[in-house]
Amino acid sequence: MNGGNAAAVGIGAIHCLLPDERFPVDKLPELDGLPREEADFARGCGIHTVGRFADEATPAGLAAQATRELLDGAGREPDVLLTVGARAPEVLLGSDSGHIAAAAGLTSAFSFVLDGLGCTGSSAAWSLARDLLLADPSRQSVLITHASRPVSLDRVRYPVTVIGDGAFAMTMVRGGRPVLRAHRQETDGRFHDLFRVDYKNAPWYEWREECQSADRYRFELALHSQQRLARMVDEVLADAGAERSGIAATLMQNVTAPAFRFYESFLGLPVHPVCNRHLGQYGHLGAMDVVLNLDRLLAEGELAPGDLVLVLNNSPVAAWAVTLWEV
Amino acid sequence: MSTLDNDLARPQGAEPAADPVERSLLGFLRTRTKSEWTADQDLFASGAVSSLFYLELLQFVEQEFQVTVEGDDITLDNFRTVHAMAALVRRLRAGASGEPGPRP
Repeated sequence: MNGGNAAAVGIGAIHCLLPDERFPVDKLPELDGLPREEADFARGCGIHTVGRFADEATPAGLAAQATRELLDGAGREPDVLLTVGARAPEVLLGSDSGHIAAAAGLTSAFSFVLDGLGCTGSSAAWSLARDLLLADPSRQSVLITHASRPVSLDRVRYPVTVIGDGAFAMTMVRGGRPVLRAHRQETDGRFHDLFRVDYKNAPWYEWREECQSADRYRFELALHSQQRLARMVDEVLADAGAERSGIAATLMQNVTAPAFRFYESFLGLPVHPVCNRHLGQYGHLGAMDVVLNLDRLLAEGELAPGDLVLVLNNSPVAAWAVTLWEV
Repeated sequence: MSTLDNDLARPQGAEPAADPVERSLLGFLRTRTKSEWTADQDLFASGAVSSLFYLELLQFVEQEFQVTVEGDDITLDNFRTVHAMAALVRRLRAGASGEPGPRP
């Protein structure tokens, strides 16, 4: 994907929903039952507190709330409701996207779930929303939503991150800003089962994420990510006819503090401090991270029209995306 | 980049590595981890290394030995020991020069 018509599609509005309660990671009750290596990881990964909604909050309910609040007062429904899939569906055979649409009061939007990409789902949703708008001139708006909640009782995902709660809704529209200038995305199915939850043989409160191989995560996936993202950044910049020196800010998902250093070391680009701030305050919010980071960066007013923001996103499944926005 | 004094990198009782590639890799590991390594020691069994360390190791291998490691060559088995890394370097060098080389 390159510039050209992409200049016509950008962000209409973003609304992020974050809990009032921020719970200290070192006081998470699960830490006492974890192996020492895993507990030490949680305490030392750069996440000081995680946002925590009430126990009864569900991903679909939170996504619906974010959608309702974003659309409050808007005269027209989005043409499409694109839900970035939660870590686990709330029902089998039913429809989480239909649930969100109904709970948000949407009656005409076509709703569906984009799934299987982990954190990268939000970036893929940006690209898909753009394509949907360009493919059919009658469409005016695509709404993207997602909520982050742990898949079970545990918030520590060793050796990846610690999960926090949050939800967002955002629209992609013609004439919106920032404009989506260029986007690349890739997947590698060989990592499809690196992480899994055996949900069929245990009640939900006993679900526990299993990492097939922490070494494979820290070595193979990390180095594949390094090679892919380095190349994809070059490709996105070439697609947009932009130079690396023209990037005003680089954002990515908030996983751990060492992860920021890892990506900075080979990209040669500083990750904007807003990412580390959100990491420390809210923990990892899955596909919401890059949306929150972009929203708050734009709100801080340090960027000017025409500035370029590079957004990297990847996930353990393994999926990678690089997006270039023009403010 | 320099190679190392392998006598310094060698744990007590271990034989010195004869292969210059292995000597260089042992030197990198010793310098970077501040501990002694043997050529058949399992890198991943140490449990004390990070993704950033692995990235530095990969960059060291590529720069020191003038090879490109990518795609299917980025596997745990190719980097599990100094022996395995040296074999990978030899194979990649042989491939780059057009000469037939042993595969691991």
